[in-house]
Amino acid sequence: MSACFTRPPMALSKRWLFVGGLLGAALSAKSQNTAPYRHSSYGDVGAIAFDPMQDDPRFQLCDEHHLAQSYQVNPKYPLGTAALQQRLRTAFAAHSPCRRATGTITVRFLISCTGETGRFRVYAVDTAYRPTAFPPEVAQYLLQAIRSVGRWQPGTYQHHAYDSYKFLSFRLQAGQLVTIFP
Amino acid sequence: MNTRRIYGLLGLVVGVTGILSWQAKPVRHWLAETCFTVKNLWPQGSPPSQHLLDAALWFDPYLAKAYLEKSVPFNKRGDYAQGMYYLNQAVALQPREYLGYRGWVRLYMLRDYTGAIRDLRRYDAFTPHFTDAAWGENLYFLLGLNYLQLQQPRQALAYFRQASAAESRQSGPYYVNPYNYLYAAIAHVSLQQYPSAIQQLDSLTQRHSKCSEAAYYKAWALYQLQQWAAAARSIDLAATQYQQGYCHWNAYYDYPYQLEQPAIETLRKAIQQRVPPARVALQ
Repeated sequence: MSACFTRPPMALSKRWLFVGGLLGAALSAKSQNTAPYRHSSYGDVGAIAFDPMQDDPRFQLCDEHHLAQSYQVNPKYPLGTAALQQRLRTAFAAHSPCRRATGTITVRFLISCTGETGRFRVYAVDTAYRPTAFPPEVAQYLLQAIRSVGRWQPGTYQHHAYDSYKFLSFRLQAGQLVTIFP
Repeated sequence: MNTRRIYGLLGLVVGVTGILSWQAKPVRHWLAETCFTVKNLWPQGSPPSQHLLDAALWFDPYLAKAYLEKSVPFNKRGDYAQGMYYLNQAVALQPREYLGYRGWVRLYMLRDYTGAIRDLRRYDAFTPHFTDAAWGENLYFLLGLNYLQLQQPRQALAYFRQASAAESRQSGPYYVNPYNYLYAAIAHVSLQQYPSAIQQLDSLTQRHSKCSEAAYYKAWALYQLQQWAAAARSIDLAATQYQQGYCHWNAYYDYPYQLEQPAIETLRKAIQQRVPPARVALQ
């Protein structure tokens, strides 16, 4: 009993340090963003749920509940980014430029664990990153270009192939394609 | 007596109200900070995480870091309208804290080089005669990279020199960011100053011997000088180091001039077949 009372105060602070460390580790555990999360939901930022009005029902995912972000599993274009960009530029250049289009168009889509693509969504912003509307044919040209590049190498983590999100952004200046990123 | 009581009561009400409103702000701030911390229990970009950030901002609408945190998953996932809206809020509240980060995002994630230069210069102006770092990278280095991307290699070189000098002064010559040398070499290559490019790349490899980009651009400069044997050795080294994983890579975005296997193979083939340099473009 007396031992409890004679314990130096340092022991208590060490204990609290240990507890604090454990709590800190627990709190920071979910901050790891470059590994797939245990679950994904369609409420997540940027999630794309199936929409029968615009999505191809033949596009199948391997696991609807574990959709990874591209930066977690790194899906790749088999011929490399430079080849992908070259193909997209060529496909886009085949159409006549629409001079009203200035800003950034982002096409976000899903790559299944077999490398198929689907559920395309288009977002457009102006040069100040405010939402804007581009002429619809511009989005159509870009969607056609992305669809035309063929299969992808699916994203993997610890030798397991995942369905994953991917996006490609196109900066346009008066209808001319300036940059493709990220 | 009655008047005194009324004034006393009024004084008490005013005093209590004052104390409560004075205390309410710290309490609200504490609640906001708690929501901000607890959101780490859920994955970034998940509904609970974003809702907790909303709650943090409801408790304390001036908590700039909560706006920044809200912006991150949107920008990482390509929703720039939302991402930049929240990031702009954070910058409006604390420009000294977050302007550098916005410049960094514009450079690497949005490829908006003029916007990045604008932000980084404003950020630099807050602390004259001091070398700032934006998101951990030397401000002059980032400015140099922006100018390099804007095809202004002379301006870029001036900034890379400034960045190297500042880092060397602060931490010693060994601790200069190796990519300062790499991008300076690429600037020299675009000016067709191949011996200067090789000199920069040698400075890099003296400090970090394993860098596939350094070997690749050295091979490119040697190829331009038609030093075939040395170019062949360099491109082989680039291929080996690339396969071993000694390459500049990031999960979120492609680095400027990021190296890829097909580019190495194209250059290797050109060197082996001694294709005249004018017929091969830098990838």
